[in-house]
Amino acid sequence: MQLLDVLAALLVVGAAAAFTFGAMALARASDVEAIYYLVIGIVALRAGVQLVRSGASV
Amino acid sequence: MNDGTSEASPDSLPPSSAPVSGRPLPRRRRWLLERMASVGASAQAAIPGLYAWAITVAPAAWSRGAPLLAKVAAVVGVLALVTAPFLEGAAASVSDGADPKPSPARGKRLPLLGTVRTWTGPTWARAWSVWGFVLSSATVWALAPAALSSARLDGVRGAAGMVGWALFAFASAGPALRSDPSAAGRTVASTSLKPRSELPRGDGAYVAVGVALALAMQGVGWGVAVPERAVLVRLVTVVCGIAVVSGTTSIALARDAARAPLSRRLRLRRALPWLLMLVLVVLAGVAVGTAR
Repeated sequence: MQLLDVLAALLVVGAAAAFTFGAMALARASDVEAIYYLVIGIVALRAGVQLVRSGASV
Repeated sequence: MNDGTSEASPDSLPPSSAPVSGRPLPRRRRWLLERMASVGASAQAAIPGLYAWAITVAPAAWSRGAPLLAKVAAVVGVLALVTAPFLEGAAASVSDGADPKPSPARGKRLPLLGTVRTWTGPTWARAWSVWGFVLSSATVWALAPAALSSARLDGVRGAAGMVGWALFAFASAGPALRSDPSAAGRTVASTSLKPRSELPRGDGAYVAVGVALALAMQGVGWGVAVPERAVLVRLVTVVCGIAVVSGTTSIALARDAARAPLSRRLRLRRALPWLLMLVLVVLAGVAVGTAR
């Protein structure tokens, strides 16, 4: 397992954590905070997947 | 499929119950498959019949004020449905190898007793299944008519019961689905099938981690008092869980990709816009939080 694979796994786990924080903020009716965490989760998840993809175009 | 190199002789063919791989099945499993393959029309009708019984007959028989005779009639209906396949199967196994009974000539009406004497096992089974079930159900409804009143019968349940009875009638009237007798001749004994490529280990761990993360998200937001927000939180957690499972699955599949892996620099360059965006969003959040 390369270093980038570890980084990708960490990004996916971080995305899951950001999603969880976003859902908790949404439950507290903190909509701006929820959107912020959800955006972080989406971007982190996308970055993690892009790190491990092989051969395909961007 | 035949590869054309050798023609399997009938002696080398496996029995119809054996898998294509040639490995023998356990005896109990083979017996079960053979029994399932030899079901007749009454067995096919038993499934929708039981469904119709559970929806339309059982609630009436066990409704408040229904007499004991209604319950007995309902049980008889279930017995008719359940025992008819065994009756049909037993009669079919007895009549195997025996000459079929002569059928009455067309246009010539036999007396009732003579007609009944020409019935074979499947005919008896079908009569027992159809008439036993229908008459017992009619008895139940006659003894407990209040259970079918519009005030006590739910509309959806009534419609589902109609569908069940229609399927029972269709399955009872139609011929039994038989297996193709020539199918056994098309199978070729061979060794166990092997996959074209071996999957690397660890894919299940990736998916399991993704599922665990997705499930952990589902524990959030169950104490929300406002219904609309509670639904929104559930929707968001489900969507986020699906996204995480999709991400971990993509990572697992990327390990198995047959294409040539990219260099580390190329992978980093491709993910760089998303990484930069992530850093910017995080820094913006930190800055806004600090300014407050």
